[in-house]
Amino acid sequence: MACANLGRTLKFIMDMSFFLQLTINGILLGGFYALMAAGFSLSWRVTRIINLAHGEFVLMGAYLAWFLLNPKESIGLDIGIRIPIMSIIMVGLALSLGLLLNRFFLGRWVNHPWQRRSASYIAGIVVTIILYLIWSASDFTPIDPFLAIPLIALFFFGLGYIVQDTLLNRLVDRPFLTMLLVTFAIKIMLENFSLLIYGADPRTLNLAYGGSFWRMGESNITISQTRFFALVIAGTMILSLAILLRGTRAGQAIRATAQHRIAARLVGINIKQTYATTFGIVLALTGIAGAMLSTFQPFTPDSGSSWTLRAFAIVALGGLAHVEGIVAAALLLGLAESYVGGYISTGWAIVVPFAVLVITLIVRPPRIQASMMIEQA
Amino acid sequence: MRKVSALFLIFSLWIIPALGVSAQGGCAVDENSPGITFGVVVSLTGKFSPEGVDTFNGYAIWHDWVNNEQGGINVGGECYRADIVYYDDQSDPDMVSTLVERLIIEDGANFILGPYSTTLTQVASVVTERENIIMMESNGADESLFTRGFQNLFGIITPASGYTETGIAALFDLGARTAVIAYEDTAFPTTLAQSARDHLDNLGMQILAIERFPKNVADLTSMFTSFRELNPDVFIGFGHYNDAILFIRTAKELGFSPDAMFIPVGASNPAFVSEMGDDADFIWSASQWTADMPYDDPYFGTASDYAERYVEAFGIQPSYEAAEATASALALQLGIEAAGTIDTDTVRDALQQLSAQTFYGAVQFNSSGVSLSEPMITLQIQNGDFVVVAPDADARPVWPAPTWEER
Repeated sequence: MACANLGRTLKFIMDMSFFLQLTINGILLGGFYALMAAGFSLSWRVTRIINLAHGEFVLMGAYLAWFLLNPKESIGLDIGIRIPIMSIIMVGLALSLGLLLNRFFLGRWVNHPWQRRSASYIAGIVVTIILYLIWSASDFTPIDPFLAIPLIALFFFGLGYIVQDTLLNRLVDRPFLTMLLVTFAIKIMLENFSLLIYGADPRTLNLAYGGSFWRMGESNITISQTRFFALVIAGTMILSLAILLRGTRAGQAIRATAQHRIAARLVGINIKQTYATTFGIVLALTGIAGAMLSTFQPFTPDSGSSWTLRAFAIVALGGLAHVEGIVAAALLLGLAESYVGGYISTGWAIVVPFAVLVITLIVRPPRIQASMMIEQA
Repeated sequence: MRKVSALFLIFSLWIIPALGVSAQGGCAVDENSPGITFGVVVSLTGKFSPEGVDTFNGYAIWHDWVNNEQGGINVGGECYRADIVYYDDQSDPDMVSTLVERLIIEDGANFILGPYSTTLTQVASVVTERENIIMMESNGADESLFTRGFQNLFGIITPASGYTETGIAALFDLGARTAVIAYEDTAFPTTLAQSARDHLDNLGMQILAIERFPKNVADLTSMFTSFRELNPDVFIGFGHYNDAILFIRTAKELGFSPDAMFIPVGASNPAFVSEMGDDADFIWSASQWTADMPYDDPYFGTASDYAERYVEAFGIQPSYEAAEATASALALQLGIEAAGTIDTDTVRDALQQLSAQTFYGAVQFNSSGVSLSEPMITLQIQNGDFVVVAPDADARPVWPAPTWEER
């Protein structure tokens, strides 16, 4: 059997189309990994949170995409569950809109904080209700996950802001282990919450174009359409993140806070608000990653840990300093998994993230440790 | 004399239906009746939960029937109520061991009804063997379960070697000559892959690749890219429900279109068709049981009667895992009734002598506790419906399946 495998491997190495296909698969996978890990890295870098619930937030994005595509779907979801989910989504949306208006848009026109806050949240509620009415008037038309991206991003931004503002900000000065334990508890809660609502059956999105592919000429090489679209979205989001961090005041505040919290506070940056905004952005990216995941892969409530692990491996490899590092590391991991899976076996591909993590932590400990030490300074 | 006959007739007309309705076994139970405790450890959450819930539902159907329609279990002329105590094992073998022990020692379970999957059955049966309690397992099909010399384990389902026999033979007859095999690296799928390889070898079919993948795998793109290069006639995949979905998604995404995709486990679940929609068409699968089978019994009626009962209770068609669970519990009940006691040794002897016809098919065990049943039937999904294509075909299989681009 070993000889047969070796012979086959040699044949494949010689086979260019096989190599190209694996490369394409690896890049498509890596692009998704980059989007998924971007949020993980940002929260680690800025708020010093190693979010062990990251994978579960990815899955929340996937489940939200599934819900928006199947609002009337009866599999596993009866009306008694649909209504609370719908309420959570609406409240989340209204709060997110209110937060955004209050923090970033109405500041120029309404000076009084209390009036600005009231106006923002009322506007948020009104817009949400209008959106709901439009959706219900169209008999809850399924919303394509790619079209739902703004909605998902908005919902997750609000969720992230609220989670950081109400819960994680209280733990900022606590020992590092406390933060790990809290995020671990959130992970368990989210996992079981999803299990209760959706059950353990794998969910897949039945998109009209789901599973469709482009064939390159007459060759055997194919490019999955959904994975390609997901790659485009990932690229756009990461670029937007880079622009946001480097070219906007909010981004500068985030970077300043990441560099030195006390110095940032001294120049007048509201640290807790910056943390909340950061975690809002983190979850928005993560939610979008989840929605993208749902378009090409089945998902179950207990599959979150593997995504957290991958995000961890990518951050360990790419470092925390630059988004470019994350993208490069994600592509490398995607390609490595693809080549190992193709030339050796899928079983060994699973080992790749673990191996990357262990090797990186041994070979490059200063960077990882330094990032953890910043806060202690 | 004529008067006596008339009175007898009236009495008969009144008493016989009354007996028939209240208790087929001449029994009736209520809350005060003595009970027999059946311990159930089953995966209501975690990886095995789709099939685990089906298994549990199957036991629930039997439990409801035996107490409310059968009037309990007739043990040596005394009527016993069937009590089920259950725990969710979360698809975790470590939990199974602890929970089965708890069922026996703390909850006083007299018998254990098995969990879903070979892996969990393996663990559970070690405890029941140690505690000398009979376990009727319903959804662990690996032969290795019965080669450990255990005396308290019984199973009514077709062992793993019978899963692919009829399907591979049918594919060979249609002209398939090459195959690739993918299997999850756990006990049951590994045994299935080995037996499939044996069947392929026996027919002289060429196996182009055998690839295993780890449990909880998220991406099979690389494996399917390799398979596509090999261009086999048939893809045979062994895993569980989750893997069946992943096989189809990945194959479609890569344009991997063998003449047939044979996924014996997972793809025969009615939920698979509703989840995959049109993509489920032309997939081959195997089943221990379908509602169309020509079996019947005095307990649940015909196979289709059973399916109707199940639909009424749960609103969905029964999977074969659910039917197996009901039939297993029924077989254990028949064993207890034949023994006339709940003593483990006597019930064990009675089960080994048991020969009964049920809605699920014939129930009979060899000395190791393995079912002496027929190989499984092979199904193909055509326009969203399961049709039997082997051994006695109800419809012509669609061969070769159209490519993903042609659909």
